[in-house]
Amino acid sequence: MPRAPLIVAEDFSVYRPASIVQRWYAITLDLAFFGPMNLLVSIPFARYTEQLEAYGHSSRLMILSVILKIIPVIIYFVWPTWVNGQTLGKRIVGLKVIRTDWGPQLSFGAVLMREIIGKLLGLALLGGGFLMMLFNRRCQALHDHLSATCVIDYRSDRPSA
Amino acid sequence: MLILPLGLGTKLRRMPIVTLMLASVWIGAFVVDRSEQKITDGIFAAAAKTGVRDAARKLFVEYCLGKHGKPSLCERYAVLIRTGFPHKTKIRDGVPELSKKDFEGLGNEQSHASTLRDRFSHCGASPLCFKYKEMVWSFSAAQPFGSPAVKLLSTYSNYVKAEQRYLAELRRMCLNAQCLVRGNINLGSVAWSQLRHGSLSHLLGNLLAFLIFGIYAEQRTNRLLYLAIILLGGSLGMIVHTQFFAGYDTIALGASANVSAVMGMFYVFFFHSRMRFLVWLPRRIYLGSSFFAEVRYCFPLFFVLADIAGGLDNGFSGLRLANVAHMAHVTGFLLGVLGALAIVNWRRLPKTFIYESELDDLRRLEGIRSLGMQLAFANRMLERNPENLRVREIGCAAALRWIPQNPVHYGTSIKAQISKFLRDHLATFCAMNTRAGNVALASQFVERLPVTIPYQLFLANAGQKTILTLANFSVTHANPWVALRLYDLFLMKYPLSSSYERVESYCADLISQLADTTANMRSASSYLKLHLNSPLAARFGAWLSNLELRSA
Repeated sequence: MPRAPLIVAEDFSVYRPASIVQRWYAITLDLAFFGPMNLLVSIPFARYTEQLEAYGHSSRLMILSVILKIIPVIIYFVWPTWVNGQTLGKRIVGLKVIRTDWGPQLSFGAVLMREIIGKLLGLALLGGGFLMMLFNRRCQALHDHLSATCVIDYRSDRPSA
Repeated sequence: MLILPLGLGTKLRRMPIVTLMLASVWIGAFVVDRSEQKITDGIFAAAAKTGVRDAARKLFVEYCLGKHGKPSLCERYAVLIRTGFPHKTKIRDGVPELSKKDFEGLGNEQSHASTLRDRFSHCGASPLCFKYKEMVWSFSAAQPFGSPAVKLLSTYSNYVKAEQRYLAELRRMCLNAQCLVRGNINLGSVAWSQLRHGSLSHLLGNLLAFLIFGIYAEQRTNRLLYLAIILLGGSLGMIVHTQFFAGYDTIALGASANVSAVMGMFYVFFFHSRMRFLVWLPRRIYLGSSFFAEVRYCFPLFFVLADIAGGLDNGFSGLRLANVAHMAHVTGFLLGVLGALAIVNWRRLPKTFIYESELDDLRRLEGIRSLGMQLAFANRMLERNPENLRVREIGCAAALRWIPQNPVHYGTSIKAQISKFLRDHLATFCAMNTRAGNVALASQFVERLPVTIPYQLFLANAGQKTILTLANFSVTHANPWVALRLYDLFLMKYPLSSSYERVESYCADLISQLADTTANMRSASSYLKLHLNSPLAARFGAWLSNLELRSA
């Protein structure tokens, strides 16, 4: 007699946390892909930003610079991370960002906190935010802690030790 | 840090003759042809003889003064006007048209111009620097088109005369040396421009990209068509770049447009495949790691956007000297894409096939009667295209057909080759089909594994999604044994899963609802005998003892 199947959501607790080296590889690939995209967005405004800088329109320059920096970050980092927890670099290396309570879907606020505010803070602390990865079991950096996320090795697919 | 594409990373079926032949032609041309030096000297000589450089600078000074520039600064920045001023040439002796003094003078100007260019690139908050930068830029943009801002200046007629003489000299020189400039676009110059390379690094860079992508692209199509698209893409790329995007005295050379056409073909042919990248970071493992990335995502981001950005950058900053013919690359790439799209639509292949040769190979595979040979041939085909589901299906079906139903001990009785093939491919086959929504086919194959063979032997590489989807499919299709074995595999693979208890209690429920038939009892006892460590062993044991008690 056929019966109702067991519906079990994908259990992310079975995957290992991503190692520092894997995350290093992923960010290297991300930067290699992100570079031309960043350039492409900023080139059409290059002369205008130079003009603003030269003639001292600092407030307008600051607003434009922030917009020009944020647009590629949203296209490349924020949006893919929000949609499936993976940027292209993470996808290649086989990593995925999940919630620390093992939930798969990240909220947009958490992604913004992770990808923009958290990483900026990590950089502002002279990279100290990223070095936090070295000192905890789940390899969480400052931006992971702030957004309550962690990165898993999505290919490990075997019980964690 | 180094990121190097390594092509598909799969084996080849046939020798890439066209690719190797073209590569050897480029190397040969680089070794034999020495006309590049002659051409550069010719440009110097033409510029010096016709006085175009001085005329252009005088024109700029007048333009600059008209815009309220300081005379001394206008004179100073005039050195940045590029007309008749090739920037990449080293100062050499032994050129008949120019004396050594002229060359030294040019050398000093070159270094002076480069210092000014550096200063201009970091103007920062200096309105004066930006004013002159803007002036040089707007002059460079207006000068070749003869805009009214330049035309009305008194030195313009002198400049035009000098320019005409310079262009005539350049054309004459290029007609002799077959170099490609705006005034000399013909069959010979276009062909020669694709054979010549500016330097050894230019040649090596092109060769590397050409070999990495060309050897795979050539496998997909007819060799003549492949060659035709390369030549057409290269020629059109060079012509478009020279005619619309390069300066009128800039000589275009190099096979990068051809290489871009190959890359365009590669992108279309292997759109659904994954490509290998070597990533090397300075850490303890000096050999680096290689990763597979989807061609459809990484290719545009890694290669095409870089070219488009470079092309735009050259267009937007009139001061930067464009050494790379980005628009030739983009045009070559587009032509390669169009050519490949035509080929792909003209000779359609079944899904998951990437080479036409796979059709012949598949026919051959289906005709092979010996299991050993069939599996070996399927393995060879999968080495060339690991995504070929049909080959995986045929191989797995053959292996499952020959698998012993009641082995005394599965480790020894299943032939090593069958065992290896199923271990390597069955889990991937199930995963790929499950992902594609073809769960019924995957389930059929899983069902064929006899109850005496533990799933963890052949499905160890299957992920939790695949296992649970297949198990659920079996439950809904009234196949509780397959479902139980799959859930058992899940429990064995993921003992720390948060769903462990739910799956276990669901299995207990399934076991309790098994029909009390002899066939089920026999299956359960044989399963117990061979799966002593199974997480469901206790449940099966309890079910069997209950049945025995009831029957007693």
